[in-house]
Amino acid sequence: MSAREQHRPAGSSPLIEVRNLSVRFGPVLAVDDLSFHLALGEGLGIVGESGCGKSATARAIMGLHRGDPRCQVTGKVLLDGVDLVTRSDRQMQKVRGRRIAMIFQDPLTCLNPLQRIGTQIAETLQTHTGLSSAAIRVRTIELLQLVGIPQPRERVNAFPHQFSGGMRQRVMIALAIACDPALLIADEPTTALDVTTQMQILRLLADLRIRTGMGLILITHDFGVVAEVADRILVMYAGQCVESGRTGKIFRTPQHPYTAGLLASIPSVDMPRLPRLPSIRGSPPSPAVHRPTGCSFRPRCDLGQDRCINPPPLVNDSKGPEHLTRCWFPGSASKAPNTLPPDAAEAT
Amino acid sequence: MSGEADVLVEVRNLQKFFPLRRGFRRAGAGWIRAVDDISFDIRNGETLGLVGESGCGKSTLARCVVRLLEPTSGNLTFAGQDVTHLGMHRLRPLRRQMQLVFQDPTASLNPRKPVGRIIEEGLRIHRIGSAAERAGRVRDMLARVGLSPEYATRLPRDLSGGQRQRIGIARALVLGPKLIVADEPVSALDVSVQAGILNLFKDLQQEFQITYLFISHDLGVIRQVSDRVGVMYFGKLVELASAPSFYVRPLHPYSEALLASIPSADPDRRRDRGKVIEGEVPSATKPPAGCRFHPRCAHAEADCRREAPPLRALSPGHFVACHHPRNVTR
Repeated sequence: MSAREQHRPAGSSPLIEVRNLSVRFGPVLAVDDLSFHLALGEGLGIVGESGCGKSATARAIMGLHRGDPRCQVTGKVLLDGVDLVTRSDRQMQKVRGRRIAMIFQDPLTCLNPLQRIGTQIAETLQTHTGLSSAAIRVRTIELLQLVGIPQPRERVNAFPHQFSGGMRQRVMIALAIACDPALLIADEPTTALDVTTQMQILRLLADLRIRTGMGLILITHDFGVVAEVADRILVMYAGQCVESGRTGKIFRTPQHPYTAGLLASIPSVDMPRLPRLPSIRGSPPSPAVHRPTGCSFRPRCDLGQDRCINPPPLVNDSKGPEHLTRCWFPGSASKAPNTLPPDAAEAT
Repeated sequence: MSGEADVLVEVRNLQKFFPLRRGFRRAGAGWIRAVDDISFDIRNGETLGLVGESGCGKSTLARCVVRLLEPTSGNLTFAGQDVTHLGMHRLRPLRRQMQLVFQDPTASLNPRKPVGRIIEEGLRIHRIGSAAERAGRVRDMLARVGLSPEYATRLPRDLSGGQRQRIGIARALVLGPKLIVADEPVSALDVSVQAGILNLFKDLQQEFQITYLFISHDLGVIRQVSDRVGVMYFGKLVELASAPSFYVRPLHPYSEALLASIPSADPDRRRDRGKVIEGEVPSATKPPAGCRFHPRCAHAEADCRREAPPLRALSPGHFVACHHPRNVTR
C-alpha cells in the first residue's frame, strides 16, 4: 500500500475525468449521470451486478459505442483535459491503444486465431509507434517477458490456441500495454479464469501499475477482485453510482444499503459461517424496463421509507470528503444487515 | 461414527477415461483420465462439497455418480444397491431418487415450455398422479422454491436468472429425490441473488432430508453449504475432510494454495501472498508422473516425482493424498 501511496504525485490533476456521463441505447438509459476521476498511477474499481452499466461506461470512455446508431453518449470524458466524446473517429483511433487501452473478459475471442501472437502485438506497435521492424521484435519479446510468459523468444511465434486461458489473458495484457498507455481499462479480466490463475493475473496488473505508473480502471462484479488492485471503489446500481470512496472505507463502513447488502451476502472463507446468508430480496433491475421512481434500490431495500420516493442525491457524508453516497439514510444499513426471514425469500 | 446404513452413495475406485482422438482418421491417440481411481462415500442427509479448477474432472465425476456417464471401471452403490452396470430399464426407477441441478438455468430450461410444464415433466415421465394431482404438485413446488403459482404459465424468458434457477431446483425436487447433484448451481447468478439460492438449498435440505453433492469452484460457496469438502486436482481426489477441519487446517498443498488464492473482499484480511501457486493445470493428455501436483508444488521432494501418493487418513475423517502434508501438528 505504501509503495502505491508514494507513487502517486500528490495533488496532481486527474488523468481522466468523467463528468455527467450518460449512455442511452434507444429508450434504455444504461448509464445515468456518472462522474468520477482518476489520477496517474491510481486504481479505481467499478463494481456492480449484470446490467448495472459498468461495461457501458468503459465502452463509452473508449468510444466503442460510436458505431452503434441507437447509442447516444452525453457528458464529458476528459483525458488530460481534452474531451473524448466530441473527438472525431480518426482522433479517437490515436487515443485508443496509445493513451487508453482495454482488456476484456474473454481473451480468446479478442485474439485473432489465425495470427501468431507476435504478429498481433507487432501490428499494434506498427500502428502507434515509428519503430523499425527489428525494434518491434525486440519490444514484442520484452512485452511478453514483462507479462510473465515463459520462453518469450519461442512463444512469440505461437498461435492463441496454443496458450492456456491465463496465458492468453497475459498476451492480451501485453497487447494492451504495448504502447505504454496512461490508462488501462480491464473489464472483468479474470472472470473466465480459475482462482489460482486469477490471482496471478491480478498480481500482474497490480505490479504493472506500480512499474509503469499507469492508471487502472478495473470493472468487475467481484468485491474480492476489486479489493486486490483498487485504491478507490465506485459501486454502480441501475446505471448510477450509489457509493464511492476509498477501498478500505467501503469495506469497513459501507454507507449505502446496497453496498452493505452485497458485502454481507458474499460467502467468505475468513468470516464465521452463518446458518443463513444475508441476502438482498428481488433481483437487479433489467436496464430495459423502467427503473423505479425515486431511489432505484427502493424496491429491494429494507430501509425504504416515504422519503425514498424522491431520488436521493449523491452527496458527501461524514466518512470524509472522498466518500459519496446516494441514499437518504446513509450508514443505517451497515448497523443492521438485512437478513430475510426464511419465508420471505420470494422471487429472486 | 457412521454405520453402513448412513451411506447413500458409495463410490469405489471409479475411473472415467475419454478416448483422445487426433488427426484425420480420428484414431485413438490415448486417453484422457478425467476421473482416475476415486473412492468416497456420500452420507445420508449431508452436503458433500466438491471443489477444483476447470478441467479437474468434478463434473465428470458427478455425472458418473448419477450414471449420466458410463464409468470406465470401478463400483457405484446407491442406497445399498449396486448400480454400476444397471441397464436403462432398471435404472429408470432409481433416477427418480437422483436429480440434477445445472449451472446455466437459461440453457437447461426448454425456452418454449411454460415453467409449469417443465416442472411437471418428470412426473409425466414416471407416470405419477393424475393431471390434477400433478398440477397441484407443481403449485406446491413453486411455493417451496419461493415463487407464486402464477409463474406456472410463464415462459423461462419472462423470469430473471435467479428465478430460473429456482425453477431448475423445483424440477429436481418434484420427484422427491434422495440425492441432488448440483453442478455449479450459483456460478451464473449475480452476487445479491446467489445468497438467496444458497439459503434455499439449505432450507430444502432441512425440510426434505435431501443429500447433496454440491460442485463449485468457489470455496466461499462450498464452505457455506457443505458438511464435508472434497478437493479434486487433475482427475484425483486429493483431500476429503469435514468442512471445519478443512478450512481450519487444509492438509494438501493444493488446498492450501486454493485458499490463499481467493481474492479477499476485505483488504485488511488478505491472506499470505507467498503461498499463491505459479503455473497452471498441466495438459490433460500428458499427466505428470508421480503426484500430479508436483510440478506446481512448492514442497515437492524426490518421492513426489516418482510415486503417486494414495489417499490416506491423517486424522479421523480427514483424508489427504500427499507424501508431505501441510499443517500437521505433531
